[in-house]
Amino acid sequence: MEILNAFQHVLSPYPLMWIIIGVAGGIFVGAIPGLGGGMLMALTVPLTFSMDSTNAVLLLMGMHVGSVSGGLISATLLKMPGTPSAMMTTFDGYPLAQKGQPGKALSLGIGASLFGGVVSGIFLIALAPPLSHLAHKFGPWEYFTMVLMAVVLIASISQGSMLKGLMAALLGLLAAMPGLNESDGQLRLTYGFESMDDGFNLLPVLLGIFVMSQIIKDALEINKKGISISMAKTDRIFPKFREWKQHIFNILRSSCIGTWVGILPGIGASISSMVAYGIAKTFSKKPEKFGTGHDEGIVAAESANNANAGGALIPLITIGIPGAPVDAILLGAMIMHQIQPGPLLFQTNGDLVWSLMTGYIIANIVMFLIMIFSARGLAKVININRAYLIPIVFAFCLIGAYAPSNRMFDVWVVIGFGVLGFILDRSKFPLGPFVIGYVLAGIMESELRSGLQMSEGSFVPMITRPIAASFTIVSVAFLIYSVYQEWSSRKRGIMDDATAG
Amino acid sequence: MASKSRTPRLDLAVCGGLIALAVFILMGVKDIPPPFFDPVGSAAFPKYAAYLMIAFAIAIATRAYRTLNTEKPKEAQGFISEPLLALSVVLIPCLYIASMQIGLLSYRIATVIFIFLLSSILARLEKRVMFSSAIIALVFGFGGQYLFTEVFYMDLPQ
Repeated sequence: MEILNAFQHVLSPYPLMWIIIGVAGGIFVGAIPGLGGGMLMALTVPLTFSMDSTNAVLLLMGMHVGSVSGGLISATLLKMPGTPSAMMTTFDGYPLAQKGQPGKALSLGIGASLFGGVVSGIFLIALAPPLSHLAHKFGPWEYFTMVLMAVVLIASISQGSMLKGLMAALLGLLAAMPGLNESDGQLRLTYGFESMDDGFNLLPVLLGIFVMSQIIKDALEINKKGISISMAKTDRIFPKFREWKQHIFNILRSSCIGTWVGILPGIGASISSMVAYGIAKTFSKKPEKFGTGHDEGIVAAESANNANAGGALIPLITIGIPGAPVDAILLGAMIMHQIQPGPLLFQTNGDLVWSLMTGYIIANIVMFLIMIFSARGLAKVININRAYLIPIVFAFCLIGAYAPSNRMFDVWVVIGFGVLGFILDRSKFPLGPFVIGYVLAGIMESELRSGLQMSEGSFVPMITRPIAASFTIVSVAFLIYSVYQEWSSRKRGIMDDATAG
Repeated sequence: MASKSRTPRLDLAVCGGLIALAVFILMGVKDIPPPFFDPVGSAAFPKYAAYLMIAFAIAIATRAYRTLNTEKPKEAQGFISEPLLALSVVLIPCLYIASMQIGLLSYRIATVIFIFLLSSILARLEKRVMFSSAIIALVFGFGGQYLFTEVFYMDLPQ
């Protein structure tokens, strides 16, 4: 019954209008290289304070869905992924467009995005309630080890060095430390500055890391342009049923992979599409065609990255842990609207959760319709001069940080974290672990302190309590695996050097 | 998973900065009183995180140093290709904020100047873009002032 009521609510004019606005905005921003869904969501959060909390969450979620899909347009027509999650789409989307079939490339991507989104939406509705029930059994040690696992997972799986991933996560943890500690009311790391008593607030930090660092990067790469492929008026974008029939197994497999990777706390859509693409290639009858404009590659990458968005909502709703860095913004927005995601959410805000889950499916359908009918127009937008956009986004970003508390300090925080994010990005430190570390630092510390109080200072419950022990084992296994990977790739490098010499 | 540093020089500089930050945090941690009702207290978490940060920074720096000694780094082409542009992109927003904070300019005027200036620099003073950006700046500055104060009831710097 709840699900039917939720569909009825989400399909009523106001919520549906916010979903449409969110999805359309997300697609537009996602299509423009350099602007991303995280950026749009972070900029929009301050504007939602006066809105009804359900509509605000639907708007932000719509933006997320739209941006993940919008990235496919520039990935296909410009060979520049609009969002990182569309990276794998460039491998086959662009070559197919080059072969004179941009319409087919887009139609495959758009259709796969819809299927991926709907499949993960079904998983979301099926899995979230029982998982939330299971999470009721979690105590401090389970929460602490789960957060630890999230941090280790994202640091290990992030592209580049695991050490840099762990370092970024630590830096995020430390960024959340200054100010009043809620566990004991103790002020710390304020260095005598009154403005620091509140610490670094969530929104300015996210705006700095997600938006500011990206626009500094964009500004410096303003002359970097892809070779755009234009679409002819005769290019067909609406998918053909016959094409879909032959991809159905690939879509289902990739959607399941995307959903599963999304459920793992802290891992984003780009990893999902990489894994799905790799597996599709392994199982393909024509693996040699991957990377040359092959249908299967586009379908795998796009269904997985959209499915990831739905999968990532599962840990967010059930345990209050963002499934991907961009979900940290959704988490932050919910907290600002006095909604605490976690096991109790189904009891405290049941209507909102059901609206969010059904709204996710509706958002994917809206995305499909908007993309099908506007892809041709959006293809023209991707070449927009960024000299106009960057200063406006900058100004919005600064006003967005100032708005919640009218403090200039927060605006400086945006600049500071923006520069920090830019430097970290340039030196190949992944920003995802930083965001996850920052968002989860509070819960990690408070649960550890509660756990240690209960166990009188002993860490043994980490391995004696079954659920906590399983999380600990996964964390340790991933750490060992990552160290082994680094070691073996280094050894391979030495062998290659020796052979070349 | 890369075993060699791809940006060794920058890694060394960043690690130096991170070690300095960790030392700064450890100095701040000294001022936090000891725990009185739980075994951990408020100092432990940042303290051990800072120690770990130093350890990781040393490991990353060591790897970067080895890479630097064994092969010619690819990043030698330059970390930032256009240092003046990079400086402008950070400096102009700082001046924009500072001008409002010290009360020199109102939000409206500061925003118009900021958008026009930054657009013009990014477009390398291309006249067509400068003309369009002047219009955008005026719309955003005056329109933004109206939107944020009258619709969102924000207290903008006057």
